[in-house]
Amino acid sequence: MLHYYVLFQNHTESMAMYQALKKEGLNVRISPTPRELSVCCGVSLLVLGEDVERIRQIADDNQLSYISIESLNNTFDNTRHRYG
Amino acid sequence: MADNQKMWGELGMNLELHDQLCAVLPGAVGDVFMSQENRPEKMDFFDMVLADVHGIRPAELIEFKKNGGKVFGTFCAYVPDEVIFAAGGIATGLCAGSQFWVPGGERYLPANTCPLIKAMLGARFDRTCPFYRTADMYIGENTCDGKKKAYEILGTDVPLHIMDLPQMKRDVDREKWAYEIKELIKVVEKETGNKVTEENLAQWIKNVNAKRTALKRLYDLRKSAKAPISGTDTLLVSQIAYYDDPQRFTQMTNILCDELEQRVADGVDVAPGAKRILVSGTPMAIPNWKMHNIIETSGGVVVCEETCTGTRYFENNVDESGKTMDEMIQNIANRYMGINCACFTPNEGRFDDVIRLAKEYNVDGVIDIHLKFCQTYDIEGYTLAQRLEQAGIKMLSIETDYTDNDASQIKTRVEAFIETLE
Repeated sequence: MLHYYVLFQNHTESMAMYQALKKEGLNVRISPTPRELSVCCGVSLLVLGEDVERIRQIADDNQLSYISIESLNNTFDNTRHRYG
Repeated sequence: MADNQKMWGELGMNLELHDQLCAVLPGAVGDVFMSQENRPEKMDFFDMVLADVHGIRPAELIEFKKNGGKVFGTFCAYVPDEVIFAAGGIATGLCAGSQFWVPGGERYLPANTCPLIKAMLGARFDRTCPFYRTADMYIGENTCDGKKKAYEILGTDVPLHIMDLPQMKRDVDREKWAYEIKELIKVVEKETGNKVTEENLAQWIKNVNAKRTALKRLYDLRKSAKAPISGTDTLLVSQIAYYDDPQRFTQMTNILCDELEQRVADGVDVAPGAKRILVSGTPMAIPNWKMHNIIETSGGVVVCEETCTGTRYFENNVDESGKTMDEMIQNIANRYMGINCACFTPNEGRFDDVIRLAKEYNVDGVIDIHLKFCQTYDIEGYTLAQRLEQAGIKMLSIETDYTDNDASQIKTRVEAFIETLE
């Protein structure tokens, strides 16, 4: 399934964007940054593909920083039973 | 995220090896947490902490140290945080819940040592955990032979103070534990350069009590006939309790509880039709979510944990009526000696706890889980099974470790057990 992630330099920027998107009533979840999209751990936001353009606009309007919005074809499988 | 790499490098971490852990954790979090439906919105704080688990809190600790603060790493629910914070220090739990750290520990320890202890040494000696690198001193405790001897090896690499926990619960033992707390006060005063005053200790007794009260509130909400939150999410909250700032944690847990109260009022159920399970046994250090994930994908919902990452951590507050230093220390000692760990003998209190909790949370069955080579909990399983049978409560016993290898077999057993529950 295609998931959309907003990537940030640090968690302060992530949480500022998170609060702004929640305020706008968007569907947004806090997620660790998937390995495929970044070289180390960090806070990213999982958003809906249909909201991407609106998110860019909200970021512009509120001068919110982010690195990029990326898509990734990954699955959340609660029966995979792999725990790191 | 370049800031984290720089910080980890300055902490002397093995970046290449640590990178392997960073590679797998997001996938595990996705499978265990992001796959859940209808999660409470106010899990967002805990999701943030988890998403950057090796970044956010270590950065705060490093900032604290830049101003002369001292950080104390702890491993166990018996170490009284009140004393460390009252000395102006910070207590932080040291994670040991991943298979990733186990091979590193096996270079120092026999293979037939419990995975938590092996992970403890692996995390330190492999230099792959920022919390282990940040702590100025570790505070250990002799809650089992494995830890006791492993500390001797760990202590060659980091300053370590061991608290000698009595293993019986007579008056003399409570006095002995009060003496050990006084010794800890001397140690933290020397390390921090700060005096533990009556005023500070009284304040931190209240602060840590407030944290326990918030956790009790969270657990009480799980007594609702409809589960307002999954056991897996609650386990994450309990795990984070060990190392987040206590006052912030209290605030965020209470905010989560506010939402859960509304969910209970609205009749929200995250696991409709699932059997209510009480988990008892050994601690589940972050990121050990294995058994909760298996149970909650097998027709069960975990509604309570009688573990060190559960009720043992927060039940019973310290009596706040103490005025003198001696009274406060004895009250702290009495509270911690009320925890029923399998290192004590006799340990009837733990069996009583499990039966009491099974009734309070109206569970359908108990799953008693112990880590491999944890002899004390393994042996207690015999009596616990007898006591539960007498009480008419069904129990399944599981022995496991941090590997994924036995997940399918355990899932089959858990599914079969849940099918037998009425």
